[in-house]
Formats: sequence, C-alpha cells, structure tokens
Amino acid sequence: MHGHSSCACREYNELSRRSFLSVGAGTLLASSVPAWLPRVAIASSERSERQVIVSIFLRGGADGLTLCVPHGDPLYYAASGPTARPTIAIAPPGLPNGCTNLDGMFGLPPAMASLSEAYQNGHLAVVHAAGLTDTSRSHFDAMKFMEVGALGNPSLFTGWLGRHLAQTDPILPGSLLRGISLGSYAVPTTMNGGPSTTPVPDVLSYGLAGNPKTAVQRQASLREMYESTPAILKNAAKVTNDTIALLDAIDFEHYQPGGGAVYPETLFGKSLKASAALIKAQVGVEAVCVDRGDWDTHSNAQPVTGGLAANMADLANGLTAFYRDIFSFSTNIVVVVMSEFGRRAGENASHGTDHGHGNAMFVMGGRVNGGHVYSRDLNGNPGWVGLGDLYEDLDVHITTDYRDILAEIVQKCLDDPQLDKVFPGWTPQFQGIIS
Amino acid sequence: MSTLSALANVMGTAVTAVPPAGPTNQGSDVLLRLVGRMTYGFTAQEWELAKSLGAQGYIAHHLNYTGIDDSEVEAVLAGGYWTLGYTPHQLWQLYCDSNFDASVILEHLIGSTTLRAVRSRRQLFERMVEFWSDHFSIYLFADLAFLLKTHDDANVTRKHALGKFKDLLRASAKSPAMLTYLNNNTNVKEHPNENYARELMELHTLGVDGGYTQRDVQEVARCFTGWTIYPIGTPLNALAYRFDASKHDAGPKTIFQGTPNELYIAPGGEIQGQKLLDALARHPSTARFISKKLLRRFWGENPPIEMVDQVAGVFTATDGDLKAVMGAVLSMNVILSTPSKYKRPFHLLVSTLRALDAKIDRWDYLAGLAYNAGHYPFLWPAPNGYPDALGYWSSLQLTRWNIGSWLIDSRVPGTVINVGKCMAGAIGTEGVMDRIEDMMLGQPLKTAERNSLRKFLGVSGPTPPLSRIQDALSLAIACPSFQWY
Repeated sequence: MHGHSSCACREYNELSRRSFLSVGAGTLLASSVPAWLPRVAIASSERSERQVIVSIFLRGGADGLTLCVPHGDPLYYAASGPTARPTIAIAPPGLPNGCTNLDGMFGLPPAMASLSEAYQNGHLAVVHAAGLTDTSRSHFDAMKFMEVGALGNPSLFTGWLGRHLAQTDPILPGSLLRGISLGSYAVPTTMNGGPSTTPVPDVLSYGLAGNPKTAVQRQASLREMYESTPAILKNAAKVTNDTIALLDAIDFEHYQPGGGAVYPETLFGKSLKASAALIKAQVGVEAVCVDRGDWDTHSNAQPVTGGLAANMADLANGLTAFYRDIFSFSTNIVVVVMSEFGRRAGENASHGTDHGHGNAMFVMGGRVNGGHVYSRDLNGNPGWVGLGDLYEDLDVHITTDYRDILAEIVQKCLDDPQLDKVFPGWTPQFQGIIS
Repeated sequence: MSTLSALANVMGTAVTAVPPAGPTNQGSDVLLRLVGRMTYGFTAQEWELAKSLGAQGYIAHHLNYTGIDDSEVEAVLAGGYWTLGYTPHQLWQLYCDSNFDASVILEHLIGSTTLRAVRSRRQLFERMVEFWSDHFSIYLFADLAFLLKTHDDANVTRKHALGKFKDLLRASAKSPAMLTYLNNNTNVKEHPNENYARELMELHTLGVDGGYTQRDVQEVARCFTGWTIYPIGTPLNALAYRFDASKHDAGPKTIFQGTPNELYIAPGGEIQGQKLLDALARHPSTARFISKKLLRRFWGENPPIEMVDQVAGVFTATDGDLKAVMGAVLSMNVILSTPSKYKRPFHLLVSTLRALDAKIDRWDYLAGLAYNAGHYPFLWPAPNGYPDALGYWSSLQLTRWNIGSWLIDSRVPGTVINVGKCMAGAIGTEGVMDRIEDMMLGQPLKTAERNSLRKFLGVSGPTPPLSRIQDALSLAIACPSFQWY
C-alpha cells in the first residue's frame, strides 16, 4: 500500500481510517455489543392512520443538477457560459453513462437508477427547483433555517418536526420513544423540541456498559440522580433509560428485511434497516431522522465513477431497499429527502461546484402522487424553471418553497393541521404531491 | 463503509436549543469555578495552586504559559512522538515509505493531544489549542489532512494559540492542511473555487452576519487564486505552501463595496491575499465574533452584549493580542457569577482521567471513548468545528455514562484506574463518598446524588467491597454534577 503515487491516496485513506479506528475506537465499539437474544415483537396490523415519517437530510449541499438531471434543457450541456459543466454533466439517456429518463425533461443519474422502481410504481416523486429561499449560501445558516422551518428567525431553536411532535398526541398512547435519530450523536435541529426523542449512534451497541450484575441497579441510580437536573438533561436521561430497555427488546441483529430488500452495508444502509425494524416493531416510533453527509463537492465531484457517484448510489440503494422492505409490511409511511441548498449551475476549475440555490427534493410513500417530477417555472406554472435565467446569474432559482412540500406532508400524512405552529409565518401552497 | 461515515453523517446537526442556565453550583466559590474554566478539570493539585495564587495570580500564571514548567509532558513527547515536528514534505515521505505504517502519524497526533490535555500543566494553553482547533476546524480524513493536520497542529494552532490573532490567521491561510481541506489549492483565476473564501469570512473572521455579500465571497476568492501547495514529487517541498503567480488573478479587487469598511486592493500578487487577511483580522466584526466565541467557551453560552463589547474592545485595542483578550475573558469569571458549562465528551473523558489520577501507558487509545460519544479530536466533518452548546451535546447520554465504566473496568488498553489506591484510608460509605467529592469536584455532590450513591453503596456501616466502590465510582462519573464545570 505504500510507495505509490497520489492516485491511490483515497483508497489508502479509507484503509488508514479503518485500521486506525479499529485500534482506537472500533474495538471498543465491537466489544461493547452485548449478547442480544432474539425477542422479535413484530405485530402485523396497523394501529393508526397517521403515517410514520422518515426525514433524511443530505448535509453539505447536494448537487440537485446531478441528483435529478435536467437532460431536456440544452443549457445543461452548454460548452461555455455560467451553466457549463464540461467534466461533470451527466449524459443524456441512451448515451454511455447516460441518465435514466423520467419524463422527457428529467432523469436519474446512473448511480441512482434503482430509484426508478419506486418512481415507476408511483410511490416516488421528485420536486425540482425547490429549497430554502434564504440568500446566504452558508451551510450552517441554511441548515439551521431549513431544519427550524422558518427563514431568518434567530430566536426559534426548535425544529419543524420537533414542534409537530410536541403538539400532537403520540401515535401509540404512552409511547416512550416517539422520535429517533439513527446513526448520529445528537438529535438534529429538525427534531429539536420533540418530546421523547433521542439519538442512537448504533442500535446494536446501545446498552449500559460495566458489570452486568449491577446494571439494573446502576440504571435506577441514574434515573434518580437525573430527576432533579435541568429539564434538558432530565428529559434526555429519561428517554435514554427508556430507550435502553426498548431497543433491548428488539432483535436488530437477526432482523430479516422483507420484499427481497438488500440494504447497503454502509452507515446509511444500516440506519435505514434499523428504521424499518423499529417501525415494524410498532413500539411507537413515529419520526425517524437520518443524516447522510459528504455532499459538499467543491472539487473532484466525479458523479459517474467517483465520490459523488458512491454517495448517490448509497442514497438510492438505501432508499430502494427501505422501500421494498417497508412496503412489504405497510404503505403507511412517508420519506422525505432534502439538502440545505443546491450547487452552482456551472462547474469550477476544480471539477466541482460551489454553493448554489435551488435544488431537488425527493418524497416517497404510500400516499405520494409519485411517478412525477414536480417543478414550476418563474411564473409559478408547471414546468422546468430553465437554466437560461439564473438566480443571481449563478444558480438554479427556487420556484417551490421547501415548506410547501413539508407542510403538505405534515397535514396529510401526519394528520397535523396546525401548520402555523410547524411553519410559523408561512402560508403553504400545497402542490398536490400527497393524495 | 467504516465507522467514520458515522461522523461524516453528523455534519451540521443541531447547534441549537435555547440554552437554559446550567445548575448553579451552590456552595462553590469563584476561584473553584475559575479552575474549572481554565483547565480540563479539577485536580486537588490544581486547586491548591489556585488557592495559593489567588484569582488574578492564577490567571496570570496560566496566561504566561511559557513560564510553566512542563518538562514531564515534554519528556514523554520526546520519548516517542517523533512525527509531531515534521514538515509536509517529511510527512509525505513517511507515507510513501513502504516500511512505515502511516497510522503512526495519527497515533502521535491523537496520543499527544490526549496526553497534553490530561497531563500538561499549561492547562489554559491546551484549552486554547482546542478552541482554535475547533475554530479552524480541519476534518482529519478529508483528502490529505490525515498527514497534514500534524503540521497544522504544530504550526498554526499550537504556535499561535495565545499569540496574535492576525499571525494565527496568516498561518492558517498558508497551512497546507487548510489549503487542501477547503480546496484553495485548486483555486485558480479561471473559475475560482469559493470554498476557502466563504469559510474564511463566515467561520474564521467576520461571522455569518459580519457584513459581507456573495460578491465579496467572489472577490475574496480571486484574492487567493494561486495560493496553493507544491505537488507531490517536488524535491524537498512536496505539499508545502506555494504561491503560484501564473494561477493568480492579479487584477484589482474591491471588498465590502459601499460600506464603511470598503477595501480596495491594488493589482498585485501574493500581497493581495495578505492585505486582505490583515484587513479581516482588524475588522470590527472579527473582534466581536472572536470575542463572543471565546466567551461562549470560557464564560457561558449566552454572554451579554456588553460583555462581548468589552472583550472586543480589548481585541481591537491590542490588535488581537490573545493573551490580553483572554485576560479580559477570564476576568469576567471573577467579576460576575458565571453559569455552569456542560462538558463536551472529550472534556468529560479528560477530566475523569485527571480527577482519578489514571495510570496511562498508552495515550492513543483513550480518545476512542470520546469517539463513542461523537467527539474524537479533529473528526468533526464540517469546517465549523465541534459545537459548543448544551443543546447539541445533551441529547446523547448513554455513551457519556459508559465512559466511567470503560475506564474503571480497565477496558482501555494501557490505562488503569487504581480504585483501591484512590480510596486508601476512606472508611465506611460516608468516607467513600467524601473521597469521591474530594477527588472529583472539590465540593459536595448534590443531595439527591449523594443519597443515590449512598443507597447504591449500602446505607451505612463498614466500607463496601471494592467491586461495589468501582461501580459507584463509574456512577459518580456519570452523575449530573460531574457533567458541568
């Protein structure tokens, strides 16, 4: 592995991080996994008409012009000018490495072709030229405002999904765990403010370490000690203690996905697989957040063979596995995928793209009016906004506020009509994306 | 995909929540709180030092960090951490050496970071290094950063942690790790790459509301065209900073156009970027942004505006002299009652090792415990650095609770906490609890915590068996009082 040129750096990098962490943290993680007994508690009937939501955030600003390619717009293939993408444009359908046509205007890149299945079945919709209309192009402001669900409101800290949970009764009366953020070390802002929510880095190793003989007693002490702490810690400790017991009762290790689903062996794939197991266990989890990072492709994006292609394949294959798995059990589910902003229409000299504006969102579920790419022109009429008129002469315009999509989901799928609390200051216009 | 993708996935998650005030540390005095603010955690020895010097003397002692004898730590470092002073070229050569396992570079970097946090007597300096490592955050596994962060650590953050801000900023701008992380090494006059320019203003200097526009981002990106590194294979200088005039847009630039801070930069080469850096370092938004961030770290999450202005005034008056600025920040802890701060996981780990006087023969494994809680050094996958907010860190409790058990049960190779020795001479349940307070807090536990521990240990009577005390000690590490400083 040594004494080679730079082209092998990336592979080496992968290896070095693995081997290093397997010494440092990995072994600790591995040996902390207790012996899980199979205790499958999966019911077969559904108890609520309210749907379970899985909200997926693509951190870093995913390139919507690659995730959903406007191959019908000639400017996407311009040789020069502000929309030129000389090395990173995805070829039109029918050409080598071309996209999979969706509707004559848009297509899925080869790495995401697996999503055609849900799209053709009418369960997946794409919304293009959507997003947060904030102007800053800062990752951190954009993520914050998008997750909070309001634009430029510095005094609002709770998330749109958190407020929804806070103002509705649990989907399962008495539920101890309503929202979970899988594969992460903190509840994302999206779910902030939601009662009975917690992050779980890894469902398989979620247990109290130390002497197993005293675990119950120690847990009781922790419950007592955190009773009289500030609410933020008290609540976190309570849901932690509840979640230890709850996850212990589900046999994630031997979970068998349905529908012939094969999840990618990635953190994202594992998180979606765990989501499916949790949802099927019907323990009251009604909101799941999963983050997928590494979309900030300023340089060497490589959307066909490299890093961006791998990220997109992970996303699409994970979603497709989840779709097959969960739909073999219930269609009472909705998945939404978003990112803080799209990227610059044109490529930079580093074979990447800088921060942009309008982007693509994906919505999948049993009540989604799918098999369609929703998009509006600058006059608000159905149709692609086009690359001939750019936001600040740089980026794709936003013609659909992301809150229009989320609000329709919250009202129709989550049965929560109090949209003014979920998206304060915003009067949504439904796009008819949910039936 | 490795466990690392777990971290890649947390990029930018919540840094939010209206931070409620922490529990007031009833009974604690200002000096004890100052020890908590300035160090990685209470030790009986540090507490004695503070009491002997008094608040102002203690602050002065730590600000004058080069005057503190740190030979014990330096001896350990000299005994095996030989890659720490390497140049980018030397690091690259090591990486290319087929007889060398490049993970040694990371073992040295992570091991030395942990060692210094736990054992260095220059505790404030180490906390400042951590602060700047967050401020000029570089994700260790982005491109070549796993090699180059070692150089950045020595020549940027450690070199200038208590120096002048403008020197720190200049060093960071030319750091090969930063240049590659934020893609400025490929920022050229045709189609500039805006990544560094944006984060330089948003994260390193002005702050997102500091008064710049998208046009400014593009102008700043033009200033830094040609700031790059020597390619691999360059004799002697591979991966070192280099200004490439042929890739530089030498035209004039105007930044902050139409504002009182409008800056015209005449046609030129490398000097354009240098002028810009100096202007950013002097900008009033920078003084406020850095001062507020330092106060958030060393005072509390919501510093009042007057306090920020006061520190920013010192920043401006001293041209960003960080010793003077920190003197002002820390004096706020003395004058005013500070809210408690919640320990981030690495801090919790280090404070545990300090309080319990762990015997440590291997320093590279320990940070794995902080990793399980989402806080491994240099592994935040976004350029804004690990959050410094209760609202972010409070939601994951379990892996914090487990840190104590892992250590007490000696499950981290090379680390032993001798509980028997810690408890030598402690008689009965009450004696054990008194000892826990003396070692870990320097003040009493909360009544509810003490009652809980007493119940766990057995209400009264003879000294509990060692295994029981070990479990109780892991509970004490997980208890609410030990989560704050």
